Amino acid sequence: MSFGYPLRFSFYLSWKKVLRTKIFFFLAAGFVIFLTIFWWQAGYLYARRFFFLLFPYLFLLIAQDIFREEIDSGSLENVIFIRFSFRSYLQEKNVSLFLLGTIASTLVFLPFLLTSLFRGDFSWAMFSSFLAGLMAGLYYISLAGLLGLRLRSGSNVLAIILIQVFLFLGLLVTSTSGASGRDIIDLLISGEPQGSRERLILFSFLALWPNALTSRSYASLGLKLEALALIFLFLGLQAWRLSRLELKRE
Amino acid sequence: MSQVILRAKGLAKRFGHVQALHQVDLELIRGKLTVFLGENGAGKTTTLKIILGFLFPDAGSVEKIQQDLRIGYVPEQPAFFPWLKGEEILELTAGLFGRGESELKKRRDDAAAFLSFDVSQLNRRVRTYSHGNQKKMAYLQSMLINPDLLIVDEPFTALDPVAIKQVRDLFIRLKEKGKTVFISSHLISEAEKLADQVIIIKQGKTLLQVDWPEFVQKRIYLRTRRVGSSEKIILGRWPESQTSDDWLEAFILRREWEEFLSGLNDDLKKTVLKDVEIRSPDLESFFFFWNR
Repeated sequence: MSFGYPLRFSFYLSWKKVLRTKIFFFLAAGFVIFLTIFWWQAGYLYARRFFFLLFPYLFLLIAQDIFREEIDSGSLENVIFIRFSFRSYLQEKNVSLFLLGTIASTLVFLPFLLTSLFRGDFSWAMFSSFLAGLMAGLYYISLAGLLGLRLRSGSNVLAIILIQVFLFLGLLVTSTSGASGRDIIDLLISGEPQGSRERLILFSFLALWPNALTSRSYASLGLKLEALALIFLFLGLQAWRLSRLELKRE
Repeated sequence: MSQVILRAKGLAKRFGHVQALHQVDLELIRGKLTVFLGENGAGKTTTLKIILGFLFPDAGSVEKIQQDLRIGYVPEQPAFFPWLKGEEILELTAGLFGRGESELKKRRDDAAAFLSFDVSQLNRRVRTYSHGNQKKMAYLQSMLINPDLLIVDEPFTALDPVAIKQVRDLFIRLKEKGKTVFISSHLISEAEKLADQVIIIKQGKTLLQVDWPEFVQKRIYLRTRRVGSSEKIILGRWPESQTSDDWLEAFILRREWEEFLSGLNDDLKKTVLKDVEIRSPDLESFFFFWNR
């Protein structure tokens, strides 16, 4: 086996880690079981809709412990990283985890794709939603990576999930608080902002819950560009922090 | 002629309020084993990590004079990716350094036999190994790449007496092959058996780097109690001598000592020879001399 390229090396390590991390399997299996039950109870179309809304979380799942645990454990102070910079390896992890997430997502997507072909209701919009979900996945990896430079043991992922829980609780309260609250909910469902205030609200919502990108209401180029800009921002900040990273374990 | 393969100049490093390194200078010479000595917190590990690229120096530089210098490294407490098995770590290392499967197996078996490492353990995750075997695993990994320079932080930590001897023999074998070894150790007695070069570091500063066999050959260790007239005579001739509450010590050139004795009258000579203890330099005395 040759690992002449850092990406191949990083992919191998990430692949082995995911394979041997039980929690990833339990949660991924839970997701598949949830979709299967939903498909069975509510039908294919609902299950497909839930798949698109939820599959970016697979990326979030594999981004747990992305950096800090390895940095603190001392496993980067290895002869391997005298040859290949540990900083490049950590940076490459964004790509390898994205590839792994894409493989896992594609495996779950395939039954939906095949069923749509079988049923004769296939549309290219499915691919567009899938690609938007991949973008949301990359968003999660880049954000979890940035947080993962400080937070350890999966707390990078937990922080994102907690923020989203508060977001949805906030929206729930907002929706029952009168006309202006209902306007916000209508805006978030339609994905069509009028004026700069609404645009800001929508952009903020998307920054906190990028899964919305998979919805057809959020298909506008502006929203996709916003997500892309944030991905570049997170990756850029990561690269800056990684370029200054030192292994200080004594 | 000795050939320098790596040179560190003026290394300085601060961690928050702590100035870990002030001015570290050192040279590693091809085919020689260099021992890096210093008290806890003197800056040995920090220096090694800067040389290895794990830390950035605030000032100074590390120059690899030999191009494509292949460096092996064994940390004091090796840590490995906890989800990988021993075999996978070795495969990964061999793959990264462009070693084929047959070469991997040959080198692995050779090093494992030398270190009495049971290769059947390689099917398990490394985190399940004992501390000693994790250390051996780090040696195995470094041997796999056939390093030009092997850097080892506390080479004998976690090893039993048999393994200590095996590691010592491994260093000798590497030297015989023209490889360079750089060790940081507190086990002075073991280090002395191996040292070609000795570097003393104190409070983040290199005090000196000496060619140890040459030093032992050319110098003597002199010690006298700080009572009587000999102390003044010795201090007058060798003001660089170190004094503690009870003792005066110096490492002086044999030739100078002989010249000095021949210049004394018989009575003074008898007094000095009665008071002064003279022996060949040993690394422990040398280390304590510089760490008073």
